[in-house]
Amino acid sequence: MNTKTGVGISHHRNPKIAAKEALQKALTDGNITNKPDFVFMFATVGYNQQHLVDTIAQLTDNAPLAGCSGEGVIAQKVADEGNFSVVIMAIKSDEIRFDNALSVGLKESSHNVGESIAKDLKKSVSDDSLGVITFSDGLTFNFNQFLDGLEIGLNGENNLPVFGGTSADNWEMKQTFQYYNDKVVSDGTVAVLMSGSLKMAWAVNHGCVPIGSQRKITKCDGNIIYEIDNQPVLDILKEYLLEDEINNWNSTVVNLSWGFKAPNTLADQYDEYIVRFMPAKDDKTGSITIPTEVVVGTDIWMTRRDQSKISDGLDKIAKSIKSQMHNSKPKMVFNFDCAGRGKMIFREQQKLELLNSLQNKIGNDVPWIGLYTYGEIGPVNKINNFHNYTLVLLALY
Amino acid sequence: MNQDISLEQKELDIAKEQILKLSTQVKRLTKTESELYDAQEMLDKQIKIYSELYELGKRLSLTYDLQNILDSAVHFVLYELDFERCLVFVYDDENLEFKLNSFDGYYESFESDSLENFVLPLNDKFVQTIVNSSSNIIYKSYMQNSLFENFASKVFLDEYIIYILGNKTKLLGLMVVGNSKQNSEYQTRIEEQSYFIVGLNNLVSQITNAINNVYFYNELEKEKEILEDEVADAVVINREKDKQLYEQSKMASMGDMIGNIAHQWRQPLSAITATASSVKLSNELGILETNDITHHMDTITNKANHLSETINTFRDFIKEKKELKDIVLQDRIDNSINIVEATLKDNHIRIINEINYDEPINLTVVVGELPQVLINILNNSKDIMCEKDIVDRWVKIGIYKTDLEVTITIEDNGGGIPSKVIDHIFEPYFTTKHQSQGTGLGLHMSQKIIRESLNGKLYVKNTENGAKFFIELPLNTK
Repeated sequence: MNTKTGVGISHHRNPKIAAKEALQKALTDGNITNKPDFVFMFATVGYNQQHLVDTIAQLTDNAPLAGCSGEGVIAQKVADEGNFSVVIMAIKSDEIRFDNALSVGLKESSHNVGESIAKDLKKSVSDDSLGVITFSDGLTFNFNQFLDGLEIGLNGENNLPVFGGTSADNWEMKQTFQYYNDKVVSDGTVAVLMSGSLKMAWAVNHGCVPIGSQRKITKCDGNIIYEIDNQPVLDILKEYLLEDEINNWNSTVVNLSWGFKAPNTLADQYDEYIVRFMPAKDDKTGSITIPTEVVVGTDIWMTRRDQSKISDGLDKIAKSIKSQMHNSKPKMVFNFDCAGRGKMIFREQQKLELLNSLQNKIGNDVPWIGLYTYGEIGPVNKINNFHNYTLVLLALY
Repeated sequence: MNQDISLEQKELDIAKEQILKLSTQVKRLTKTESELYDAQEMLDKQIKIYSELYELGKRLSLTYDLQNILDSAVHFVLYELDFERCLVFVYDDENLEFKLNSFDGYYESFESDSLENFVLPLNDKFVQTIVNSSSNIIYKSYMQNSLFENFASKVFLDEYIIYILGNKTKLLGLMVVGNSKQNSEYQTRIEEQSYFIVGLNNLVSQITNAINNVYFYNELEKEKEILEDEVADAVVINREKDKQLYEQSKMASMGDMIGNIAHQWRQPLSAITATASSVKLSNELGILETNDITHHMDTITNKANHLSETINTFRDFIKEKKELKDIVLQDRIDNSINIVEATLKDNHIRIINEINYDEPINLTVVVGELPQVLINILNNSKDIMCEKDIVDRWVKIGIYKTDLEVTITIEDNGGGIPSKVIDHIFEPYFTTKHQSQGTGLGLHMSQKIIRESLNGKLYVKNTENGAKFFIELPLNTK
């Protein structure tokens, strides 16, 4: 039984050359001499995205591929949030299989997308299926609806853990991209079913702390919040933000987020609060949108990121993963980190030091791929969850 | 009661006011934090740019490769400053035009194809505008300037900044940095008030210095080549002069030699003539005995053999072909002494031979060259002793051998060489003799022969008697 995995990265400005360079490095790194079984790719949005996937499809003889655009890309000793970065993981294995699926139309119905994905993946689900990694559009994704659709589509089979990150566009908040084989789409989800004899270890941790007092949602619809404490939500925001900050939404959204009290089932292993960021506001309807659904009466806090909590959280993640793997070495690691936890809060050197510290604890020669996302997905206490300002780390060993 | 309500209302108002103040403070703190993060990110970018500029400067200072410098500049613009495209033109002062040397960034293939061999003539109106401007020029698509717009379309840029490398009096090139409209969204934009432009200005300054250094270096290299050519020519001329010097010296030596031979032959020729005349007279008188004939013929034969030997010595001396020959040093010195012996005797000079003949010293040398030196030194001794009218004249010849070398010494009692001239006697055309007597080449050529042909040393010291010449020869001379 053997798994060959390699990771390559490129910053070349020409997408065709960048894709080729990253792929060649990945194949060399993994000592893969023929067609890889599967390719993961994350890239930033400065590139012509279609040129990237076309190049990989051409060079790998149409090896199946999954991935998405990120606010930055992550590899061993690399956390690059520039506009021109592409990272590729190439895998050749008889220990693990990857089956991918694509569905578009999240904005119209994330439920339908989840169901469609489930329908495609169901035929590949087997007793040795491990879980699903998803890459969804970070601007139009409703996680609860998607998860409902996915679980219904799978008929509740296996209760597979779901991981992943939502695609990003370097805070432009205009268009993000999902990669499926030689296709590039927006408003879609690409999902990868993992099956085989490898085991999974994962950990989830966020780095936000509440500011101000407890509040209550008094008017909402699905994932759209209209009123808090019987006041228009945009007026509530004015208690935390100056007028110019509210107008400059894209940079503001990085700094503040909502926190919900975590259920007791999560609080032990996770944190007292579940964090949600606000990817969109609507001045006409006076509402904000969050990536998961809420109900009237939910207690809510304003939260902000905290450097030392993020740093402590990384240590917890490393300990948790090590403890789950016992003495095993991962054959690959997936790193889904929030875009708000990169250069928006840490200085470049500080960010790299934290990443290096995490990688040194888990394995600094382990094939490691990741991206900075607009939302992270990872189960906590066996319950699939959506997160913000969070790191989800998944190791296959 | 009313008083209590009023008090409560007052406290409530104070509390609301405090909440409002606190809320404002939180907002300001939150905003400050946000601005801090932004400033931090910008600071990081600036630090990175200046750190990379410093590293680039170090690399540029180590190279004189123009292409490497220009490629480094283009790479820096694209990968550190994050502009989409960069073009560098190099000025060709022969054709009065700027030739596109390097360009990179994300170009469609038809764009890069059309930029190959792209040239901007110096007299082009756009180029003249750039050259005559004192600083960089920024173009953005909203500007109404057909000249700049026309250039933009030629180089596939919708916004650009253009720099002159060098200055109006010494043009080195042009650097153009910019973005296309369709790809500019995620690139550094061309904006006047931007730290990227400050970084770009610094880069241009570094590149200009580096290009200047290359040109200075190339000029120095050219100067060096010219000097090397001149030195090579001078060497050829000097060799020709040396050859002529050698020929002159040889001719002078041959003159001396012929003089010596004349002296040497005079006595045996007189003896042969006298013997032949004696035979003839005895025959005419009828008193010639058979025994006398044999005796006289032997005398003539011996004298003729002696003359023949001097011919061999002379022949070796004038041989044009320089060929190595194994010799016995003592024999070669004897030959030389033989040539000058008669001359020395005629001038009342005694030869004191201190040569040890018990242990023959074998050398491989160019035939004829060592005798030339020996004869030259002996002739000089003769001349100086005659000139000074020395009483009881002598020259002393000896050989001293060590494991590594053999030294021939020739000492006279001519009173020595004046200290004023002793350091100059081996210089060409230096002579203390009358113009008709010396060419000033003898000792110069002698030293040259010993040093270059025999790998030895020739030098002179004054002794209590006169001058003493030392000829040191390595024993392994081949």
